[in-house]
Amino acid sequence: MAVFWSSSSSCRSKLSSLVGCFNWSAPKNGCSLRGFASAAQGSLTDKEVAVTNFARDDKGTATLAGDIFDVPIRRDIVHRVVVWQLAKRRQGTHSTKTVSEVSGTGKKPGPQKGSGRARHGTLRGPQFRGGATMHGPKPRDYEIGLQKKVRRMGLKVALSARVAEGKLRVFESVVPTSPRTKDMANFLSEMDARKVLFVDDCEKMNDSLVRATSNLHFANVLPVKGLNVYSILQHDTLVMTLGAIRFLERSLHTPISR
Amino acid sequence: MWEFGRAAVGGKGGSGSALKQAWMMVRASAISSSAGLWAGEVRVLGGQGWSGSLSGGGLLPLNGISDNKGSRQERMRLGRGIGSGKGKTAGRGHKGQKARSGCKPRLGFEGGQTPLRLRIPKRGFTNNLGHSYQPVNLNTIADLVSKGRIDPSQLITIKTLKDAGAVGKKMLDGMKLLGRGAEEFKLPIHIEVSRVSERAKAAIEAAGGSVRRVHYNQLGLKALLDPEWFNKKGRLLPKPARPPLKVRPKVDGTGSLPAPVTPPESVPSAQEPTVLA
Repeated sequence: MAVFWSSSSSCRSKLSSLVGCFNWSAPKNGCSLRGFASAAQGSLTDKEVAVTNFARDDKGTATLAGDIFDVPIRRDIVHRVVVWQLAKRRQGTHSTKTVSEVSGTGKKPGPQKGSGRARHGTLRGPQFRGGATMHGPKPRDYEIGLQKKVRRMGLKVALSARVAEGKLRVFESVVPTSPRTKDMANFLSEMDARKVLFVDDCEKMNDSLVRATSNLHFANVLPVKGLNVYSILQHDTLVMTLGAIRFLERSLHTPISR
Repeated sequence: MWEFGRAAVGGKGGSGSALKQAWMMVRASAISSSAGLWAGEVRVLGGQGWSGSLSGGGLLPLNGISDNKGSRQERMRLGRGIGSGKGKTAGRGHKGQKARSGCKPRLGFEGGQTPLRLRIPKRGFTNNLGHSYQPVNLNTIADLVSKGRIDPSQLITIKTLKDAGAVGKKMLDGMKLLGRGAEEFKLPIHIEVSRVSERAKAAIEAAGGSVRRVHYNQLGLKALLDPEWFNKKGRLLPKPARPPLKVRPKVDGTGSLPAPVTPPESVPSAQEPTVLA
């Protein structure tokens, strides 16, 4: 059952693993032959996946809800959610000064006529050194609206894509066997992954996982409450605890409050 | 990726028309045995242009997602040369108040001349006491019964008809039953509506049913159609309003709240002798 990380992968070097370029050759008797390959992707059918842990123990199987982990993969929905996420996270605190805000006197520098010089109303106009900025940025909110149903659908699509790729791993817990970065790097190098996101259902991620991954740019951790489409898309492999999956199913099955 | 797209389409025996479809097929089994719980192809729907693959950056790479074609309209660029078609006057015509930037004269302003809405005298009035009803015809009810959306053995109320989709969202002051389809109407139904036409009443009573005209005010209609609203607000369901004096001759009684499910005892017994005769 537990054939995620076969020991047959030979073309692996420690150097390449540490920079996150894994060459992982798939075993011939891969996951697609596990007997679950019946319905086509996107048919909202429940899926059974193997549950394991950092010690690669076989912890049985778990069922993933079909209406969350097996929805049709919609690029447009995901795009809209990502655009929404990136727009709303902009600070928008940029600011420039207009002619009334620039320091300096508002006095007319000279008479309108008869001085032999150009006419000016203020010395802080946009054409002057030290003057105002025309049409410059002012603090503003960049957030765009997106329907809650679309936001939810985006998350479902992103999760379904990872399941379809076989890149959603279900762990019993994400407490590593050792808190050392070296051991974590070794472990990840044996996974078919370039970037990994660990998701747990907790307020604060466990300390040994945070310590083990904090210096690895290709591994990140996130409580399930903060799981989002952009983070899923940034990482090619998602490692979720069983609790996180159940939390997600519960929250995505809760009706949207209006 | 492109090779995959072609291979997948070729494998299905499709041609150029299949390629034009918005989605691309990726044959998971052909790529890697590690990929997916699905042996068949994985479709990526929506978006335009290049799509992800199971082997490369995944089904949804960040540089491969896009919205559907036509989801964004391109901004019209005004005053950018003759070739654009919106060059010299930028669609504003020649000179004058409307060609300048800033405000335009307000809607209906005719340059100082008495505008049309002031030239024409007022006429008509608004009847504050008038009622208007949503029309429901007998053929609509027969149709909904045949589709199984109304149970003819139960009492049919305004709520039943609304829930079955006999009228749209708008309720006005109630429902009036009209006689279209009266000739073919054979259902012995018991029904409560706001008003009923003579023809509809005759048709229903000929079929062995009964019609009752009941009075609901606006609050009563809300309580009838959406009792959950009161529950959610923590309010009690209002008592049904008695019909005003002027309305009393036009109705048979007060509408009951919450929505009744069985016809009142008196109505069928009063109708039975007439039916038998």
